[in-house]
Amino acid sequence: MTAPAGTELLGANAREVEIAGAGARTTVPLDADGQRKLAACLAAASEGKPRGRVYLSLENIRGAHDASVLNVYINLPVGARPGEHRHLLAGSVGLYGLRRASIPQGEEGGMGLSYMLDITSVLLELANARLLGADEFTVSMLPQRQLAESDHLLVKRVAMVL
Amino acid sequence: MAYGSQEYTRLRNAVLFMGLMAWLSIALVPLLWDEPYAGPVCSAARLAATSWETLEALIPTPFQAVGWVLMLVAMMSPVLVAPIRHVYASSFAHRRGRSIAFFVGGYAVVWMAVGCLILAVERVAAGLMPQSYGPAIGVALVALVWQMSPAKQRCINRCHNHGPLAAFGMAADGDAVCMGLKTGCWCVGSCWAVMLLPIVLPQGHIVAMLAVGALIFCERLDPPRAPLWRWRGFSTAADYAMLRLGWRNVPE
Repeated sequence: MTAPAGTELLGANAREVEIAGAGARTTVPLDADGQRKLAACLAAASEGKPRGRVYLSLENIRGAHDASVLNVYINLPVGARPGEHRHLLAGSVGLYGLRRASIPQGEEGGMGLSYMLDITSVLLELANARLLGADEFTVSMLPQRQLAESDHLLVKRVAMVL
Repeated sequence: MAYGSQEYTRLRNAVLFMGLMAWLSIALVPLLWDEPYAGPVCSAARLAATSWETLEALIPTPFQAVGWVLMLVAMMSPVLVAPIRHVYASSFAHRRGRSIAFFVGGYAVVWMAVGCLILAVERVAAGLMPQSYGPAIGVALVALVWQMSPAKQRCINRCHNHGPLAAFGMAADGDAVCMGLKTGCWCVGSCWAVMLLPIVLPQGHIVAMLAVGALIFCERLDPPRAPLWRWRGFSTAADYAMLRLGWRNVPE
């Protein structure tokens, strides 16, 4: 994904996320300044005067299971069926090359894979439906197919960038 | 982590400007100051020194520390652009300066500690073989072997790795310091041998610094590779130069 000009960190989760089985959730709190900038960005976008895009950054995903696709949702209710909330889908990421990228002595030094997802439209929809919280978001990362017991994925950081 | 081209350009120019100021300090202070042995990094003083005691009398240890700091800033600033950019992009706007300061502090601690060892090596070399190229020849041979070694490649690969940083509070400060310490350690692992060479030369100190600085910068342009025995240093820089000069076409 092409890096937009003037990017700024809005918020990030506090600790590494382990994805096992059916998936995992994490909370991404926003900085006070980030809340204000996000609100201004979404307000401008809803008026037809876009002032940038909002991205979700999944950083340093590591694991040994290459054949996975992660579906990433924003503010998916607990216990909800993802198929009934497609409007909350931020994107899907294919983890091909994950095993090689996660090898500590490999060329990448075990830093894994990182992805950026454009979540502007999802946030706009949540804002229009008045379902958008002010200070934090939940991010659900659900494998397309449930992971085996021996398979785990680690996501070092989930961040929101404007 | 994403960052815009304008931000990157401003940050890069600021870091390189500090490096340029360090180079100017190293090169111009001896010329501008009447004292013949002025300046903390002075080839004339090293040439005249017949022993460590003489050298120390000419350039007291605090000035040697200042000289080492100037040398680090001058030679390492180009390779610090990428990690500083990562710290900048990974931090909230209001704490970017603080995070970068913590990173640079951690990095500096490692190199200052190594500087004590390197200056001690110079002391031994000056004591055993004053005004001789013997120590420099020995260091050059060691540096040549290390330059080609798989261990060096592992260190360079690690230098390219910039992990995520915590965003809030003390955890963010701690991560910035840790990143500085780790980056410093891997940088020392990659560069220790070539950094020793300008120190032990009896003359041509600044020219050697320029050459070593260019080598360090060019080898960081290379992407991470498998750790094998091979010559490394200028392949990416040479490819870029040939593309710019039109001697090689961009593959279709």
